[in-house]
Amino acid sequence: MAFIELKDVTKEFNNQVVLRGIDLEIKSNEFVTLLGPSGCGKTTTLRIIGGFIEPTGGEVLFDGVDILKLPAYKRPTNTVFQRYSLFPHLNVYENVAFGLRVKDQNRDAKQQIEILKDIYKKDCDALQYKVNHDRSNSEALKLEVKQQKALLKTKLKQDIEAIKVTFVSKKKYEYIIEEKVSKYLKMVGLDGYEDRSISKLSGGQMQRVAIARALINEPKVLLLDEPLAALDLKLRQEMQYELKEIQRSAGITFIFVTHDQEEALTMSDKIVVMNKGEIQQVGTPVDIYNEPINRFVANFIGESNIVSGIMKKDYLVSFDGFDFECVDKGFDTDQAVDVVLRPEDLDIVEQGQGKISGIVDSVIFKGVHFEIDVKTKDRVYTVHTTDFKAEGMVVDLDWFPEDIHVMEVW
Amino acid sequence: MISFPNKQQPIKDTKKLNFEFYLGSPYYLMIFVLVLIPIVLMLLYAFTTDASSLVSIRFTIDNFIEFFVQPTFVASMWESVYLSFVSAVICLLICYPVAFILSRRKLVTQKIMVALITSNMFINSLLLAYAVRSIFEMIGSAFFDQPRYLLGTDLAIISGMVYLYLPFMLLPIYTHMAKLDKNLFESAEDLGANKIQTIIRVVIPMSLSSVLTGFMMVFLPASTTLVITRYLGDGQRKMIGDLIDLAFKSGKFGYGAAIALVLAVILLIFVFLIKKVDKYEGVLANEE
Repeated sequence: MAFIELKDVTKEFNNQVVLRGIDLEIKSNEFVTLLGPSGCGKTTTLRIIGGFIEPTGGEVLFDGVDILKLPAYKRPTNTVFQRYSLFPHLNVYENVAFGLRVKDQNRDAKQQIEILKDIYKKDCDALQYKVNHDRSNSEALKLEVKQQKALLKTKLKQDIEAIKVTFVSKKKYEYIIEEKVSKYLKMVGLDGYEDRSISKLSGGQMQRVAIARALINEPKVLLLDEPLAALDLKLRQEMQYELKEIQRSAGITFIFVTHDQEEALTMSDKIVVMNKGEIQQVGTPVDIYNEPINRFVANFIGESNIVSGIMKKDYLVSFDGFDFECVDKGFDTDQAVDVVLRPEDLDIVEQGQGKISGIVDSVIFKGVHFEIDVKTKDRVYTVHTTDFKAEGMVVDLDWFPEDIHVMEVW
Repeated sequence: MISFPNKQQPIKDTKKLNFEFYLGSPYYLMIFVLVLIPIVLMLLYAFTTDASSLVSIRFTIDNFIEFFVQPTFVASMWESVYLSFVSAVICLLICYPVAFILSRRKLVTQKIMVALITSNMFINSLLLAYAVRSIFEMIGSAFFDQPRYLLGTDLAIISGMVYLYLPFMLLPIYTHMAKLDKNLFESAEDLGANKIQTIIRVVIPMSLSSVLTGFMMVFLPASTTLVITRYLGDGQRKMIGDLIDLAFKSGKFGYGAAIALVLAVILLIFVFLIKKVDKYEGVLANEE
């Protein structure tokens, strides 16, 4: 069963539709990434889950219960904000402890007392009802009720005292706070930084404080709004790894918003690709990469050569004037389709040995590989290869049938 | 032998320093002519007998003794501090919530409201005091059969002070509040703080420095005011401003200077105490 469920969530700002009919299911302990270009509604979705914006329509369910009426501070979510939003007037320790300090340490016990008081009141009312509706107006009954009431009252007092004994005192709570803060600071690798002022932290350190601050409330869901956007590449990769570790060890559902497809592929259990307020595709990173559902997803996730073609029959697709074998089926005969060929799946072979021939148009050195543009009769194909080919060479392009991915035209 | 390199001296940009110095020169001139010289004169007057010429000058602390042995004088000093303190507190109680609410409204609303509240700064303070006096006279003649019934009471004086000095409290607090990062309120709410906790734990500590500034802006001028005691005190309440005024009018310059000095010292102590409270000075959300 889904832990978080979004049902037909819609949001309009000034009559502009930002989200249209978002349906999404998130399981417990999942690392879900909302991925899309800026302005696609991913942050809006996150803020709706966090309780900072109200949707125009639709439902948000946690464990099957609608939480839209709950204000943000009562939701079982915590957020790591894009710009961290750490409190500049507090040091690292107090920032992390904030969530604990605003919590009433005896809330559960106090609720129990309220419940007991309610029960007592109801019992008393029931007894009083007996007396009020007693036609014989007997004194004995009155006396008996009075005694019973007194008994109930003493019992209530005893019960309340028993609960009050379990109250956590301020001093003890302070000790608990200290223990927890140091635990979470250690978790994010910031032990020893307790007394630092926020303004003296680097971007990565602030990020860690923000994560510790959000985790200390032990939320069921952690919402992360592009938390790594402000970090440099090396640090970002490190933090990606650490976040994944934290998610695994703490057993929390992470909902992560990013526009960085590589980040999404590295970290997620499930990627939700969004565009223009709509979900394009939901799936595992491998699914999303290998089986993009449409042109937008194929373009947004990784680089692709997208070619318009026609599906001749099952396992046979035609583009650029040739018929090619493929592994896709289930399309109508002669249906117009988009064909994806990933640059790293294409091979450059000697003339006459491949499927399409062309001329090497440009070569760019990218470090790990060369990015070579091959100009064929109809278009330019981008190829990633480790073998150098000189510009102007006449070559052939080759691929395996399973490298062709056929998509419906949207 | 090991030779240690000489400790590097920071290179002074003399040219820039000079330019900055010249930029400040009108200020230095003003400080010298309008602040330093008068203070020296005041000190001189306070510690000397009222002599007709420089030759017969004689140092004394009689002026201070005269002030402190007269219980009525000390009482009026106390009264000034008390009345202006209460006024400042009331100003704060009015302005703080207003500033908070304002800072969360639309920009247009903010501008209009601030203009309205500060509009009494454009009107002569004498007129303002007179207007308040008229109102109290109206109330007095309507309910107590005596127009001057309410004049000279704490109520009249404090209302006058609050009315006159309200903008000085609002402006610093509002300016600071408007600059607070709204995301911080959101993150406080996210961490489980309800509205009241957010205000207590985030808004108040972060705006404390502006509160103290506003407090001083009201407290200091209010404690030395002349206008208000004259029109709303109706001459019944002698505040420190009146005493100084009286002393100078009757030619007792030394005595007036002594009172002014005592007042200055008391106010300085207040400023010092207020600065002590202000531990989050200069903390703004957009400082990173």
